[in-house]
Amino acid sequence: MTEPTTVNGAVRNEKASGVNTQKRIKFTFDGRQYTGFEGDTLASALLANDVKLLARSFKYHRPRGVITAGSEEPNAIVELGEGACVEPNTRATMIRLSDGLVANSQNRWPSLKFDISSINNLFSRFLVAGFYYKTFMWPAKAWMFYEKIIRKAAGLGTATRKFDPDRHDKLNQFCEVLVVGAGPAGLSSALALAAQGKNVIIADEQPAPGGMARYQSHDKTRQWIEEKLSQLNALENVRILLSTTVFGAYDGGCYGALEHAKQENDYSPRLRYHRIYAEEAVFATGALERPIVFGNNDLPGVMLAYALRAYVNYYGVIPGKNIVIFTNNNSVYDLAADLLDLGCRVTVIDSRADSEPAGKIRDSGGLVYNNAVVADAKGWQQIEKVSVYQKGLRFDQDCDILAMSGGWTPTVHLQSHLGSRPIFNDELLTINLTELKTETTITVGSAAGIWDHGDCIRSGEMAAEGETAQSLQSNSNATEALYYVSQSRNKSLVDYQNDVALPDIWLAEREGYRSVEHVKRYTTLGMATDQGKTANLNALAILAQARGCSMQQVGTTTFRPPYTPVAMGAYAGRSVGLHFSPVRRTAIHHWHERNGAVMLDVGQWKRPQYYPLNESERLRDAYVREMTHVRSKVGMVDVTTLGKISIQGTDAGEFVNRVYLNRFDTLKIGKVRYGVMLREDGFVFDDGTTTRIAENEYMMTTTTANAASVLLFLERLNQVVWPELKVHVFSVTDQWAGIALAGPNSRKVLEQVVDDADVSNDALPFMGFLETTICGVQARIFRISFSGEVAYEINVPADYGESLWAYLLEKGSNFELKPYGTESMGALRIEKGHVVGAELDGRTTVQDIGFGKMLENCKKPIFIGQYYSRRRLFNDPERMQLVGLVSTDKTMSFKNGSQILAEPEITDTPVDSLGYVTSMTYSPERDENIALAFISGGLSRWEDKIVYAHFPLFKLTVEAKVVSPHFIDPQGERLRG
Amino acid sequence: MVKLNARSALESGYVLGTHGARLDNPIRLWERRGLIMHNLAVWDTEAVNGLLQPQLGIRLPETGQSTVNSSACVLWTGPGRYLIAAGEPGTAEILSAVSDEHCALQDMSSARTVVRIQGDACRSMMAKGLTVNIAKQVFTTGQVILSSFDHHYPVIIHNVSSDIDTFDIYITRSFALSFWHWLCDSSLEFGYQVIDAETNG
Repeated sequence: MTEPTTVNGAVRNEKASGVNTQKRIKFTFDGRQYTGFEGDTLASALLANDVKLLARSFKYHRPRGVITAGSEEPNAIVELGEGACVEPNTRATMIRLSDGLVANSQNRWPSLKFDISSINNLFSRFLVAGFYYKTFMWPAKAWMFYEKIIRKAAGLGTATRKFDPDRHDKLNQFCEVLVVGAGPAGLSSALALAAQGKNVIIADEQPAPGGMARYQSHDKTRQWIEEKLSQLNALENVRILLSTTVFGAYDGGCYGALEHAKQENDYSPRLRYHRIYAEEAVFATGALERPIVFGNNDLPGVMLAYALRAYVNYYGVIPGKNIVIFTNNNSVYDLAADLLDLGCRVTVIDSRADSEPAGKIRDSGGLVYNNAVVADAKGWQQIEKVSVYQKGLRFDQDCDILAMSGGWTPTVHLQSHLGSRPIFNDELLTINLTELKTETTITVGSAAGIWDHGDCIRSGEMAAEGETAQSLQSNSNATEALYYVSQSRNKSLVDYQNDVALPDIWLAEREGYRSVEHVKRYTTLGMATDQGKTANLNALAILAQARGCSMQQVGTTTFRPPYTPVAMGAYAGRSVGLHFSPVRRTAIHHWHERNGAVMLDVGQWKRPQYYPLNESERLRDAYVREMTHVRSKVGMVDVTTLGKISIQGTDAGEFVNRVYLNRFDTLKIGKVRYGVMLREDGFVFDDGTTTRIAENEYMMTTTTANAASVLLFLERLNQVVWPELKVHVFSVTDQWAGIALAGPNSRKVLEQVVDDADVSNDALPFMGFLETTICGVQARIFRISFSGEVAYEINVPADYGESLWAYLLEKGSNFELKPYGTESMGALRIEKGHVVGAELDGRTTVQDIGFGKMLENCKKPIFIGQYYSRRRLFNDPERMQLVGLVSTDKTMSFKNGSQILAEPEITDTPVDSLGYVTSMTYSPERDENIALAFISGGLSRWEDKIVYAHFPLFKLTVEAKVVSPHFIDPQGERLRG
Repeated sequence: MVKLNARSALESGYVLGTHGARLDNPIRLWERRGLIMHNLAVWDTEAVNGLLQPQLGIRLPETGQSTVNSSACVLWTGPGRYLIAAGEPGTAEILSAVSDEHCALQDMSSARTVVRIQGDACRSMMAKGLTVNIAKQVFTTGQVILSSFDHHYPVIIHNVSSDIDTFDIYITRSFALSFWHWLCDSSLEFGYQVIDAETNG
């Protein structure tokens, strides 16, 4: 007999292999401090401290203890950590003890022992499946009110709203074979594969390998595990990931895994999300022991037999001295022997008429009742006795622990993720995969319905050879088909976590929910954090019996990822805070920041929206000030973000010609032309200027928003549509910093900075281009204007962008050069009537934006959109066309998106919208609120007429006169000046 | 004449010294500044090789590879596409001599920031954000990967040496500072040391 030892007041089995009794660890549960050992889980440590009540159930607030020793735990759900680090709904069976660990029970008030909501349990016979939906339907409007109360009363833990200070990270891993599960089958498979030279990753959710085998008391088994582990550790082509749950299998050999990482230093992640890419996978995922459904089968002290074996042999915790084991199979008899060896009183209640290992237990002093079942567990907040039913007789049996085993269910979740659907096998009396092998996966060990230790090892080795071990499948535990005890008198839980009891399934069936999927959703069976791992098969059996059909006919529900819960923080990894989204910065970004610019997100770019004079200056005042300055003096704006594409090759001219609606092959070197680009369907795609830099080189500009789309469009045309053209396109957006100088004084400023270049109106006229140097640095100067003023866009290599900006400001100070932001840039272009993305939204044609003549005059044989742009409907005079709007009331400004109606009032009678507002601003030059809009019939029908721009969301109506969209300098005299 | 200073995209985030976990072999990071970089797109590989070899003593690399000598480094960046990085001034003139009959050439010296990383933990660090297999036996000296870090940062990674793991990461300039922050953060658990930037040209 092995003598238990007393350590810190707890009786521990000194042969325990999973804990280091030399290292004590202090932890707190519900505010009380306890001590455990290194290697303990929270569950084992609490059991060692004789704490059996750990939680309250979801709906009825029934007292709950530990029922498993693994990730399938449905009962011992606790809140881990405190403050910002709090993590609700964690399983006590999976929490490794660490010094100072803090855990609390959840879903109870005011305390775990005295939970007021446990009153629900008294009314539980009324709170059946569908109760809330049936009861709180009237009045329907009140459901939103009821829902809050119901959710508050029933639920799991509460997540914190504070920022998670823990680090979580991600890792991409690649291998030839991923072995999931490091039990006997997984270990043997990994070794055999590694011996073939394969690059192997073996992952297991537990911190130590061995699977269920490590819970055995045999030294031989333990030695075998250690030997295999050390062999694997010695191999360079094997990576061992412990405390790592492969939670999902996805297409293309991609697997998701979550590692509870070791805290090696202050920067180690707590959770690490692995994305594992494997050519093949071996699923050695083992099997889960099933509970048996009987009265009060959720009382603390009732646990699965394997769990008790784990606590006794691995963690060394002996949570009781008087133990009843209830079974329908042989797998519990080793546990009975272990317990007898430790001096416990053992009574086995075996539902079968005969059990071969019973004799040995009787010989060792244990009691075995055959043809008997546990009908009910009894006790207040923890088990004290069981009511045994045998051949028509009932009797009570005292106990402090009840271990149960209803047989084993292979863990086939990952295979199910990949599309395999397990079915019930009458011979094995459990679910099983029809095919153990697919093109890239193979299932071995207990996951394949193989129970014997040696057979599991053999199946792993066979998998390495590509062979399945179907022949090794058997009901070697002699499991009998017992899923629930009909003689029970108390609430019999099928799904512990969702408080789904036997009558709930019967009720669902009676109410017509015959499909297993419907029963699942009606009763919530198989949902929540445990996903019904311990409940599903029993529920299928109960439903099959209720329906009077076979288990195969009932079918199975679909397992979906994740296998076990994955914290959102793990998915996010380091993509939080500063790293939430990458930021694109222009070369002048830091100058803008240093000088108080208010930055605006434009896609991933940061752009200066405006430069407030002081803290009190608001956006409207600032942009009006800035644009007034540009119109009267000179301003400069950072336009680096505009897309810039270099098009090179001997066919570059022809290529650009085909891409744009208007001609470009005739463009002279050193000249710029505005171009409109259509899509194949004839609508406008983008616009911008393109410059002929050299005979075989053009530089195209695009809007900031369309920079990537246009590049992709050009690449597709180049590579797929016209591969015969000798052209290459390069994005040079990042190569050049762009600064636009605009205003009457812009030329004077430019003259101050260029090295020996003539930038006079004659030498560099509107739409001219000059390649020169500024302070010796290569500079490209484009005489183009977005604002409508005399303007130049200067490009220098981005490395020099900020220096040039500062130099311009210095040299331009004599001419009152000031920076302006995107807000005033946009307002200036609205005054000028230039279109941008707001107008070119994919629904507008060249005719709509006033470039119909460009299309009429186009005689080119090939250009994108050439056929569809000439569709009759595109010339329909009723189409919405670009116009300008001026508010008749100077105090009223427009809202973008306003709908334009002919009537001042919106009535209940639906009317057609005449159009909509796309861009609006205040025009300081005109001292009016103006807007660009599309209106049916355009200027030819509406010029100088009154319309109404309605913005119903704000109950805003602006009376407006329809005018030309060119609010200033319609002849373009300024920009040519 | 007033001189305009070239400024690195990493300037505001480049903090010299050792950071993160205090381990024996931290990752070493530094910027390679002043490299002259050109994108080269080729229609006739042999013709371009015929021009490049006498001028730079270098040939265009095979798919996924690089060719390196003391004057330049040529990285394969796609079918018929290459990135030429050179530290020597004058390389641009040599490259410009390459006829545009056979190829197109584009100066990208300011378009990319180049970061060199070195150390045993480099691969583990990069594996955090790279969905490409960079195991030692797969991603070997001289090989080139075009991918993105963390699904966002477009990069070219050149395995400079597997003896002491050394990689050059070419990142689009506008993303460079954001990527640098990511790189430093990802290196924290291994410890990292930022050393003086290398100056070329």
